[in-house]
Amino acid sequence: MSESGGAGEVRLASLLMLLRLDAPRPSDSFAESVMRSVRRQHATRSAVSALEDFFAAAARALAVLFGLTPPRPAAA
Amino acid sequence: MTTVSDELLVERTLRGDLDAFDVIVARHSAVVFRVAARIVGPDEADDVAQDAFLRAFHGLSGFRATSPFRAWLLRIVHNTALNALARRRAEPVDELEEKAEHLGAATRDRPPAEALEESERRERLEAKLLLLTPSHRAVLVLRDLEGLPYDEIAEVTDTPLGSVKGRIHRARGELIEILRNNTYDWELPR
Repeated sequence: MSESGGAGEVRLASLLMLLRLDAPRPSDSFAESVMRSVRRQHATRSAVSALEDFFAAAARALAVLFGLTPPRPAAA
Repeated sequence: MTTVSDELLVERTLRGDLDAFDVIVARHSAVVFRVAARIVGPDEADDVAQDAFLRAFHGLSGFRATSPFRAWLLRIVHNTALNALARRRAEPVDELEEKAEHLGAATRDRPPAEALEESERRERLEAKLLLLTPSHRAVLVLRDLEGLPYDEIAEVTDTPLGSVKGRIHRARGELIEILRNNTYDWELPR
């Protein structure tokens, strides 16, 4: 590195210190807003998952009813 | 008082305890927002930071506790931010430079003491930072503004450690050149 290059980096470091001292901050409601979205998406996924389980169970029951598959052995 | 580790909070979240993720968000929202804001700029920072947390939430099962949670989370922020930049319709360079110049244009002819006010210089510098190529901006933000160690930056950017050091050096060089080519006097030695 040339001498001026090194001096340039030193000067740059002191300039960047200005930015470190005044960093952007999230709004007070940021975390709350994130969690609202998280809870909403989680609830949607849970509902979809429950529906999928329901339809899978219904499909199994119908298959057994029409003799397409033997009933599952009861859990021990 | 003992602090619950990120890893334990992840486990709890995966078991369905959303309050545990609430703690994660509260703990990391400042750094996530700062990194997002420095990479994509203040206008999109909120969206990118929020998107990153949602991606993290849905991808939590992919977190391996072999590395620090913060690095894993910042990797998501880094990728989300770079994707946002790539999606953004490319602004003509002239327009970007005009935007960068705009901040100080009105005050250029004021007396030096006033023109060199710290807040103004900070705003100019923030605008110049946005002129860096995104990958350079990202490593510069992570190293020089966030103070992350090289190995964590390597993990966040998915780059070999040796390449990280070289990229940071080039990023600083690029920023120095941008500042030197600016009419504003940054007092950078030639």
